[in-house]
Amino acid sequence: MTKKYEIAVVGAGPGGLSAAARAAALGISHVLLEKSSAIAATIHKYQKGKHVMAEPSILPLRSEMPFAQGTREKVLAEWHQSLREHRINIQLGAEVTTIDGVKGDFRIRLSNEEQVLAENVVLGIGVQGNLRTLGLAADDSTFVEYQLDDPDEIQNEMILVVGAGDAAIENAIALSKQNKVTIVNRRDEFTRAKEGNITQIQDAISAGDISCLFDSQPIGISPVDSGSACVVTLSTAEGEVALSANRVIARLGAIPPRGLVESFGVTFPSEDPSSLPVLSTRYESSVPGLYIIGALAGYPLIKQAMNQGYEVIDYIQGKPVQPADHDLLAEKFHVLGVNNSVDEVLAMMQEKIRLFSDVNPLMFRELILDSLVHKPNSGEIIFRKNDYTNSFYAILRGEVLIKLESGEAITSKQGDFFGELSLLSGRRRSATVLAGDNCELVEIPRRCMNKLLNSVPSVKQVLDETFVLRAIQGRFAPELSIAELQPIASSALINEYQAGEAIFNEGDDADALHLIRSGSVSVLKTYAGKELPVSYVSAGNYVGEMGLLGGHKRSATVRASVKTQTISVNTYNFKRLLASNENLKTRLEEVMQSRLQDNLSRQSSEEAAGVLDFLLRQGLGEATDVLLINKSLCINCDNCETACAQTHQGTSRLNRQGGAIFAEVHVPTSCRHCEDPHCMKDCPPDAIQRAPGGEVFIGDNCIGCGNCEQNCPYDVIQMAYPSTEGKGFWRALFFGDAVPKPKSRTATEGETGDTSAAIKKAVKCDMCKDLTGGPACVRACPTGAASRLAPEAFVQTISERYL
Amino acid sequence: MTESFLVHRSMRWLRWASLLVVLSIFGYVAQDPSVDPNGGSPVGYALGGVAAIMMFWLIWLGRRKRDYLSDVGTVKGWTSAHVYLGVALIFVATLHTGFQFGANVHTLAYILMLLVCLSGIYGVWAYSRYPLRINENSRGKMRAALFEDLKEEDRQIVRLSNQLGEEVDKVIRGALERTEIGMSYFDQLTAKDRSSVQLPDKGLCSNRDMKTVAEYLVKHLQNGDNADEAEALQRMLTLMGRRARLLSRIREDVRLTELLRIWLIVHIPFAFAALAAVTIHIIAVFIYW
Repeated sequence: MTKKYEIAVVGAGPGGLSAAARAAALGISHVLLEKSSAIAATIHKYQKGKHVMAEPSILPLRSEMPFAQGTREKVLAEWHQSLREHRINIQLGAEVTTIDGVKGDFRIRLSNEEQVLAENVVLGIGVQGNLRTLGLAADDSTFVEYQLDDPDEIQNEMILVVGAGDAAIENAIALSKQNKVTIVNRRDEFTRAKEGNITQIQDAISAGDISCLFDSQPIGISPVDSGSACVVTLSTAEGEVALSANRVIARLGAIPPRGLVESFGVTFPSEDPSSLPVLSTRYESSVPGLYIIGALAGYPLIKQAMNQGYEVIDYIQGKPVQPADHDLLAEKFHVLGVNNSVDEVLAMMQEKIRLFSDVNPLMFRELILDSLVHKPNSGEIIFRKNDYTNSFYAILRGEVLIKLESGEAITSKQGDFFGELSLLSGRRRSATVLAGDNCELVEIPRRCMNKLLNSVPSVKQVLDETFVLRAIQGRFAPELSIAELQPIASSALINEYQAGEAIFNEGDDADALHLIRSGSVSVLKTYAGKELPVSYVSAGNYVGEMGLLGGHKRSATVRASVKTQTISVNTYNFKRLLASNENLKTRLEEVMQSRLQDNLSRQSSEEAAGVLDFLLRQGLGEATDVLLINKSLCINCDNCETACAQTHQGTSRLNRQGGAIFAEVHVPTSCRHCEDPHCMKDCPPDAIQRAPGGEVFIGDNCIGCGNCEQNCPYDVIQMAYPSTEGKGFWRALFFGDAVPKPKSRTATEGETGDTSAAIKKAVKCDMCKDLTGGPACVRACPTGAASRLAPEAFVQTISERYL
Repeated sequence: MTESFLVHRSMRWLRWASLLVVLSIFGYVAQDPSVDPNGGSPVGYALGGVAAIMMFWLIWLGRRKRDYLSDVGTVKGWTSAHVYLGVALIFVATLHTGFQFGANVHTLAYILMLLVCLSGIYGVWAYSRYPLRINENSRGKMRAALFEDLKEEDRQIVRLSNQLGEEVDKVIRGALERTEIGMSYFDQLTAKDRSSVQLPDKGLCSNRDMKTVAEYLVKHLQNGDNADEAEALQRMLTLMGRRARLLSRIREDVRLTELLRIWLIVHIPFAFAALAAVTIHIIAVFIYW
């Protein structure tokens, strides 16, 4: 009879270890199952000496295991020691394939055919997933590798790289410098990878640096007698082929764990890949007795996972334990001046704010932990029109006044919300909002709100409906009541377009007006068979009014310049809007007049269109503020870079040598402060923020993970050690190092001497938001070549320059 | 696209500088006719005082340019003022001399100042002429990108060279190794190509614009009878031609960039020399007069 454990913990990451340690400390019969051969596999794979951060610093640690920030080695050594001290019952190499049964009687099957019985299961398997293997008998042979640590260590080998994603391409290119590399692609082209990588691999293949087998995959690997090489049999379009190789590197991606977790019976609220499993406040999934903690439950930070590991064991034991964040929440609610418990306040919030009623309580708790609770005085300004803040507000009590362009104010009451326009479009605030009487507000940061939108469909639906309604009201019909607008709004559609996709083409029948919700579009006319842009329209504005008011055909093509969402109002509803509102027609006709004039004048200058086309191709369609250098004035003095370095801890955040040039316009490698910043998307400590002035900046709580550096498509973020301040001018003049040189963007590593304590952190342009006088790069330019402009402004200046 | 330092704020500093020049000339002409115009007259003292303050302030641009936290105007505004007031200084200082020159430290100070101002005027001319020419020459590429292109070109040449015979391969690799960009400062200013190549029969020869190696390849092509090799040689010739064009573009970039800033060699040291000479001039005047 197999022994039945009270608790089985799956996954020996920080959460799983902490859970097992708590179980061991309480003397509960337990087993910790780990599929790999070491604990904390993810941290194990970090590079040697990498600094592990203990964010969020305000959250106290509650675990039987120690954890404080330090090097990877120190953290792992402490955990190993703790593992022994607590006599944790751990099984390494135990990969779980299925879990079935019910609470009190779970049956866990392992890949080695063994079985484990348990009353409760705690799942802490993270989100990394399992690496895809080749699916051959030789998968585990010494010739096959699934990761590549240092390509420079391998020389003069014949190597087969299998895969067509970024990892495979990057490995193949890095290895091809010193080895003979063949890349094996299952398909007939490279499509899954980043554009830059695709170009590189195609160049390398056509140059003969790398051989490539398309429509191919390995079907067998057998070692040759000597043992230093193997023969790989491949099925190709031309039949079977045998190649000899010293090494096969398979980069086939990972299988996300969701499928596995669903096979255990756990439900997820939506199909969205980023959605999180449904959990109770006690981390219990939809399968009673099966608990989920850590990254898989939506908590990517080590300390959170460890706290949950501790708490989940106490919950299973029925111990009354307040979560580690209890005190933090209590403090947050203090401003409300109520005597209710934290749980009661949270429940009250969910009850009062309709938008959150369907959110699972655990997720809501996490949301509020990241949010702020305000009790502003009557008349206090919550945010101003044209501010760049993009948090989201819900009204817990009382009311707020939203000031419209016309000067009138709309009242929003308890249970309502506001701020969704900027949240979704990434643009400036469209109105000023003032607090009313007895006002209590919850302010939710953009990142948390986006996470919620991706996980809970009902929130997204309510928000979308409200967005459409308010957008139409604010833009076209402030005089109409919500009730009158409802039928028009409910028939409006939300459309999504990829970068470059046409929203409509010149000559099409005009069937709808598009209000741009996020992203931006370019308006194009055809010159001598070539499409060139005549103007650029950003989020919050509309396109397509000309076709509806004037003729019945589209007078120009409109394309999304970046990923764009529009709200379209069809002809019938548009006419209803016009009929209901006398002023609207006049207003639209004025806009149309000025656009017609613009289009006519710009059409006459192919050069201006060329420059605009170039700028949009540089991704400036999603920029809010961009550094441009006028090459006819630039004297290559590099004072812009020096100024940047001198005002930002010795590292220049702009690279004047980088970037593209067209005619006289140079777009150097420097942050554009995107509307919807790519860098913000995956920042574990939420260190990247947008200041009220629009500046996207990285806070001191950066943990140096490098996600933003990878996510930025414009290469403007770098990882650098903080360095000492530059010498003073006079000291530098008389005691050497006349002008402290800016560190080059590539050679920051190891230049600052003692770096043992410091870690590399992400640095980028912050538009000198903390300096009086504006960006140092522009202020330091002696000739006036450098300027920072918003896209609307450069469209304007280009027209002035070339017309 | 943007506003140049020359037209900064609708040429505000040109207007101030003009006013200063007009006032100086007016003061000079209007002074008491019984006084022989010289630096020691009341007007002379006034002009000298203004000129000395201006000199010190003009030199201060070097400090302001490096004061990256300062928000006292912009560097562009300072440059604009520096240029126009620097030109005005020629008038003010010349009037201060009362056109009395001699072989002494006073005239030395004046000549040094004049050299600084004239080199500065060349600088303004260079700044308006060369940036565009640099951009045109490099076809919208920064120098780092040109060198990247060269590296890529060389990689292709070496790869193709491997397929040719050992002798040809050696000549080609030698030609790549003995490519020179720059050498002496004078060579850089004239974009002189001092590249060379080692030929089996002729020894070390000049390889200006890759011509010698191209001729060598052509000869090989004429003598050979292997179709594959001929095709490879043809391709190599194309690559060499492209490489020669790229190299001349880089040399021209170096030349133009140097011409853009060559005046600073005179402007900066002479500015300090002029400041020293003026200091001596002032001390001398106060001690001996």
